[in-house]
Amino acid sequence: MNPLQLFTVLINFLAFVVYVYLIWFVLNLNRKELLNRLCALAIVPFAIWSFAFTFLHSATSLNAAKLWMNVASIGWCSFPVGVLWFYLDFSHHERLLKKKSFIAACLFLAAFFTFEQWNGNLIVDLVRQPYGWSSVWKISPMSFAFSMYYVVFVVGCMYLALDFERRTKSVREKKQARIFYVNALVSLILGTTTDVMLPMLGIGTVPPLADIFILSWAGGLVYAVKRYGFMALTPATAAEDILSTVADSLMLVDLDGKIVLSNKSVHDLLGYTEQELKGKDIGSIANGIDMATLLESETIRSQELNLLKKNGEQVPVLLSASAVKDQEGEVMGIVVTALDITERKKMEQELRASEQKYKTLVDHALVGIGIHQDNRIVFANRRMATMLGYSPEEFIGLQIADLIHPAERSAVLSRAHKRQSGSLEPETYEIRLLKKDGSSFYALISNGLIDYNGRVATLITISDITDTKARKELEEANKELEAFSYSVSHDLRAPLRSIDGFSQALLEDYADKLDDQGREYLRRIRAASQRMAQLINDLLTLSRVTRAEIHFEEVDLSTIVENIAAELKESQPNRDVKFIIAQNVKAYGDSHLLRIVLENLLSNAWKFTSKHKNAVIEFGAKESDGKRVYFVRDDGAGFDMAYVDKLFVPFQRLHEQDEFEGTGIGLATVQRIVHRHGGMVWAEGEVEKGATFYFTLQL
Amino acid sequence: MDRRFVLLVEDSADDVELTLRALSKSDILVEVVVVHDGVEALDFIFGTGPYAGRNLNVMPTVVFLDLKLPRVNGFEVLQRIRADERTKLLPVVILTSSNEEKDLIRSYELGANSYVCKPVDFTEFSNAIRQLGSYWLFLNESPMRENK
Repeated sequence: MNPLQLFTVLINFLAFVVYVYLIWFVLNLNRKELLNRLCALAIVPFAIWSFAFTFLHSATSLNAAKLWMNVASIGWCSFPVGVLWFYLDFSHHERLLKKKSFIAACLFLAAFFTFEQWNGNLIVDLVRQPYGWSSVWKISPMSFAFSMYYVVFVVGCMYLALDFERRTKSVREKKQARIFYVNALVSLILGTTTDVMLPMLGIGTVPPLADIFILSWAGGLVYAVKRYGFMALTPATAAEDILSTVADSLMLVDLDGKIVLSNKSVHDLLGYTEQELKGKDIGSIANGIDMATLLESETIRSQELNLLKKNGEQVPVLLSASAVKDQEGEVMGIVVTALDITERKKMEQELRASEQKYKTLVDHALVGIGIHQDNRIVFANRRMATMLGYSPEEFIGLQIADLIHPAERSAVLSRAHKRQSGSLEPETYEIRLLKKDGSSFYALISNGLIDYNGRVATLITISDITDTKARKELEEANKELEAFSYSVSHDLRAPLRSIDGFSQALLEDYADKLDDQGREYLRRIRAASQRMAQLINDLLTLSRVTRAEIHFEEVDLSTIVENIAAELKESQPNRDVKFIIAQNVKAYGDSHLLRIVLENLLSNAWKFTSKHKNAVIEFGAKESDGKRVYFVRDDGAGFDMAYVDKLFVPFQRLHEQDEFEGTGIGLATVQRIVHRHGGMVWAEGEVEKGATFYFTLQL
Repeated sequence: MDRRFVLLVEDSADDVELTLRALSKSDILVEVVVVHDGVEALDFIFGTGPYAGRNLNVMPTVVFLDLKLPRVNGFEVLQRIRADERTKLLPVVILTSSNEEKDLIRSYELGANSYVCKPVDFTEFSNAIRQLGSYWLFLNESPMRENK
């Protein structure tokens, strides 16, 4: 045996030993994992191949060589199948492996070509060479078919690996796939050249070393399986996966404070590459963090600090650090994680600015601002408390009832209650508030519903209107009006009484000295003075209505109407007027003022039906657009709708004095009272068909 | 026999005339003492000034008091009458043009026995005066008489 032949024999044997070791090794890594088993299975043909080649090249007779070549063919005819199965499983096409027909087809092909070789249809002859034996391939459709089988399977493996590398998102799997196709490509090109191409071209001087070159492939498979051990999730591979994929920035720092490892997030965040960061002191990028503090605390949780970017900018992060310990509990290094909180910081700042803005607004507002819930004050600004004479501390928790003037208390509370249960109530209105010392003042209050601690509450703003210009002017005007009315009340009536009284005296004492016309004149003087007295009375009522304080309470309008109707009937018992009065019509308002409204409307109805033989006067209420509308209807003289605007103007009359007497102030008074109750009054009518007066009391 | 008379405190000559006419028309034959302002009224009642030396045992059966008076107004007169032991029970009827509620309330607060608003219509005015006269002069039992 020459040295070259000995080398060939030894190298093939060595390859066999390595293959056997690799089989043992990969099974030992994880015997239960399908991929490990397939990896081992794929190496078995290589082992058979190199085992047979050891004896092939040491064979002395052609027959022996042919026998060993046939044994080797078991390996080189079946390895494409084993390798393909492995690649299929690795690239997640394991479903194909579950198909029995596919498995059977693969096994058939391997067995078929092995059988053909044993029948002498592939390698027909072996030629003695210095290194051993070279093969002579039969140029036939069968050997071409074998080449096709071989190429299709191997190219299939390549495709699977390339495709998988492209598809997978895992860096680890990408690396693995790369090893799989690079190693396969290298060993196949070399192996195919020495074992197939050259022999087919008739060049027998180069020994067939495919089984040797394939070592790199098999070794690569085993290396990848071990290195990236994806058959079972191990902490190490998981850590690497996590490190590369998490959004958090991760750095591994050694005991000297030098960065050992950093992930992509760190590079994106700080603008350094991994190489630039490696070996950098952690303190140079994290302000206020040094190794001593890290080691001392061992664990730092969510500490806010700034990291220094490559371009010198600072980026706020939430930094956590924890010690990594070996099995003996010795600290080996620190894992530092940083969460970019730039956005959060910005939002916090905006929120704080907005909160600050509103707080300042509330603190410095010239109006009182507060919140009440369950009839108690739960929040108030200083202004609100001082307005009512309390300190801010004692103000919180007060019953709102205690802050409202008794005259308005029940009305305001019931309104607040209705509002909180969803009813539409006026938002802004005047209110009389009660101070701590018992004095009261007028305020304008505005209400809005808000959610406070998860439940409905009312946000109120209050402004003191005692000293507002408008109120002062109004008070001034009211005082003047009061003085005027007072003087009218006293002084304007006295002369009238004289006129009337002395006219009467003339009529009584000097009737014989006057003719009929003279007596008629005196009667006219009396009538005029009495009408003027009525005018004064009505004017005084109108002005009183303007000034009077409104005392809210529930008023039974039906009863009032019945009383007035009875009075009217009594005043002219011979008239035939039918009253239709709706029962139990209630309203919320001032009973005295509402009585004046009804008196005016009913006596108008009474008056304007007086020319009819019989008449019907109706009182009732109806709902319209969610509002309660009260009405007084008659079938009397009515009016022309063209003049409806003039109805409520003081002293405007639509009828001749001789036709229907009156001062023209009644409806103006009605309107003023209704307005003071926050309501509306309007009328509909038709000449000789009657009139209907409507009013609302929105409060 | 008791001397029954009315003290009419009234500054308006017209009203004095009409009141007297109304009284005579209603067949109430009674003496009427007329004073024209608050000071004169108080002088008469308490026997001061021009009325010094008046027999204070003789007091009017009823005082018809106007509110709007020169110098001392009706409220003050009423107040003084009620403040004095001798006259605190003297019947005082406020007879005025005003129907202001506050005047009415103040009058009763100060101890007026009645409050009557003089109607413009003379017929009604006559009725009012007649009723007042017959009530206060003849029907009403005045506690003042027992003082004597």
